[in-house]
Amino acid sequence: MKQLVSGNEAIFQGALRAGARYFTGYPITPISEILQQAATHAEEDPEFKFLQAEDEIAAAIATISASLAGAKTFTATSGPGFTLMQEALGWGHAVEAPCVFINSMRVGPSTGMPTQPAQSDLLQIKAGSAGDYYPIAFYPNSVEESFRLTITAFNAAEESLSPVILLADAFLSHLYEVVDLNAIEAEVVPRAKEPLGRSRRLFTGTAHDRMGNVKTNDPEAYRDWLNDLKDRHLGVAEKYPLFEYFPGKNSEILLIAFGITSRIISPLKEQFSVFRPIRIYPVLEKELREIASSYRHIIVIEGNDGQYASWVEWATGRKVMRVPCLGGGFKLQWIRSQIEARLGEVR
Amino acid sequence: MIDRSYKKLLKLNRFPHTWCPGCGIGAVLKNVAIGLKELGWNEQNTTVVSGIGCSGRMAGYMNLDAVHTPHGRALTAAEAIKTVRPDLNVIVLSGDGDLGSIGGNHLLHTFRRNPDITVFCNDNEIYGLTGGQAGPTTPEGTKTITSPRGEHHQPLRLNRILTAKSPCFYARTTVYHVNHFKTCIREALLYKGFSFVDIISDCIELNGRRLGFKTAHQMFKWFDERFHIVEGVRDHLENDELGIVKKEAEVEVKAEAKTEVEGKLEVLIEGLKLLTLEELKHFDGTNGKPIYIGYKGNVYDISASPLFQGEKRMRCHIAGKDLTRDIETAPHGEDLVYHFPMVGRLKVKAEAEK
Amino acid sequence: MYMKPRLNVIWNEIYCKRCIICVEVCPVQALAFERDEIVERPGCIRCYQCERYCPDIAIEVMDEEKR
Ligand SMILES: Cc1ncc(C[n+]2csc(CCOP(=O)(O)OP(=O)(O)O)c2C)c(N)n1
Ligand code: SF4
Repeated sequence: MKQLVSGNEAIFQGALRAGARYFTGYPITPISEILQQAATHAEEDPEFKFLQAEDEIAAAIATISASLAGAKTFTATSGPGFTLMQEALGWGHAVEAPCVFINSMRVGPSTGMPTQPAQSDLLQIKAGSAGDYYPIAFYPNSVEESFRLTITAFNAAEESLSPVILLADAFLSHLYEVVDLNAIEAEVVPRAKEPLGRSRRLFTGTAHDRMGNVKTNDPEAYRDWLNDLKDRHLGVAEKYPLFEYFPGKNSEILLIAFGITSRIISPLKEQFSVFRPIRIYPVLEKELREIASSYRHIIVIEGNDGQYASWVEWATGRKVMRVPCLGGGFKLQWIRSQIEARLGEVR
Repeated sequence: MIDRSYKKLLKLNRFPHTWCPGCGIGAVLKNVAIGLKELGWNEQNTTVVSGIGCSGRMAGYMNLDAVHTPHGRALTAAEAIKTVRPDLNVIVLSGDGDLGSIGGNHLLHTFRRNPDITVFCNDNEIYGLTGGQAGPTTPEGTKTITSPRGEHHQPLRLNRILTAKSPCFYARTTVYHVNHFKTCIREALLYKGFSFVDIISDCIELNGRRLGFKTAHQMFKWFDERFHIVEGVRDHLENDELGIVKKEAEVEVKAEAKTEVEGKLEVLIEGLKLLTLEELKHFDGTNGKPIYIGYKGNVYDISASPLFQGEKRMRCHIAGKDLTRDIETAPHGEDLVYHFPMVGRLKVKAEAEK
Repeated sequence: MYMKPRLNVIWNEIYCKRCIICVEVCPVQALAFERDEIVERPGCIRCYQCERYCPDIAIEVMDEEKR
């Protein structure tokens, strides 16, 4: 049955479809509705557990620990909370716990603009926690896709044995669209990792070898372990090279946009070519390089001051133009004028 | 013969462990392992969680599935594990800095939510691993490397905070008062709900030496001077007392609630061991065994009594006996006995012959 | 062999970190620390204090049968 569903609802329903049995979080705009749904659902379904944590640090740690204990788990937050979750994110990679972190972005830094959408936590996916780690992150741009990608995120988590990040934005979280979630078919990867209480393993954030033995002074063992992890994560990421590409007629200019920005600029598809990365991290390096090669100019339109643009420059080795939509200001009119201005500079 | 089967719960292939000579953490690890073994807890039904610090290394030596969390997050992890796996016994082994300082918020809220986990806090009143800085439990005036003129602030009174609501289970003991320590461990493990054992322990290397102690044993003596054991179950502990605080939930006395409590009691009595007088003699406190006495057909564990601690336990000549007649004639009366946990029933001869 | 039998106790040379808690808790001073080793003098009353207090599981009182 078709229904009016919000982005937050779609994410929650997607998680249930993927088999999630535990949700924990701390209230924050714009994902408080997910908390509310989880709490209500836990009252109805004794198999599903909910914890309103005392802070996002606890929420993130609990998500990972409950996953080690054997449940599929997830948590949701926004930028300020995601900052607090960074510690756990690094730990989750070290102990190889499959779970999903949802970050619905709003304007930062700090409290910023609590109700205004942004896309400014891209670097936080990758660079907020200590050390090297290789996270996987997806970013939908519609309610239906939020549902699908939540399931994909859970699957990628089970395959890579790591916390996978699902990005959204304040706009998408509160966007209502008509969809029939029940009619959507999706494959679900079951839990393979052995739960706690079976053997004598040590799950530790301290450097360890492949067997879980603590090795705090052994570069070789560390390298082996980290390379294994990297290969696995990049291998799983390769299974999901998700993007959308609309080649425009005779266009010399490629617009790159994702999430809510890609929805806003969709009228520009007539005039320009548009590339929408869905797997935000690891960056779609090969795809970007290939597609970009047929364009003279690349313009990245995003809700931050050039975070993805710098990744595109790194991937393609070319200078790109930026249209930063800051402070929650996503207006087609304004974006169009900015594109004109950028092109004016180079013509 | 002393029971050494607890060693199966330790990863002996990783011994000698990482701690300094004389450090109290080894004693905590060992006695917790003994406590778990006595209850038959093993890798099939138990998970251990640690934070970071010297104390946080304990999980790695337990021969169980172990989770070693980031600094301060052990309680959160333990609660989450218990939530999705109620079938597992979850214990936390960590330090005072980890649980009380960086994990302070989690401590308050885990306590508030009262999950069924057991916390053993190695309270050495210092940050050990990082080199001996003042911690949340460092007594006022103590000189450490970050309080060169003496700590300016009052310590966190865990005995006050963790007994501020009902239900609660808080026990304070030391690594020196071994019998009391063991009793606290067992009581805490058996308690349904959040139980916290605050184990005053020695960091001889980075705290003790600065305080002027040459050996761990000298620190033990200092613990004995600073603290004394109070018997029975209390509703609070003073700052110099060792003992057990246990408070039941404040339930309105409804008919429903009452039956529940009664039900629980029955289970408890069924679980009691039946001991003959011969068997009772066995529990005389030697060889690390608890000290039992018989009284009016019941068996009580008096190991926690201050009269039988440390070297004094050897002089315990009433252990392993039925004291019904002695106590009836004694001036202090029977209240004293009821302070101690009842652990069994005495089998009368006729019954034994059957 | 790192398990060194004494008169009444077995001492594990590898586990032992020489904190000498055992020497100090012994109520009859039967244990001593000499030339980096724990040695036993006559007089042990088999009270198990050393074993109970050793944080390193490095000293054990021998079971009577074995003696
Ligand atoms: C986030 C973070 N901050 C600081 C540290 C450094 N650190 C490691 S252990 C420790 C203190 C542990 O003290 P306590 O819990 O009392 O254990 P102890 O070493 O005394 O047994 C600190 C501050 C860390 N590992 N992580
Ligand atoms: S530094 Fe202190 S707490 Fe750490 S192992 Fe040494 S004595 Fe123990």
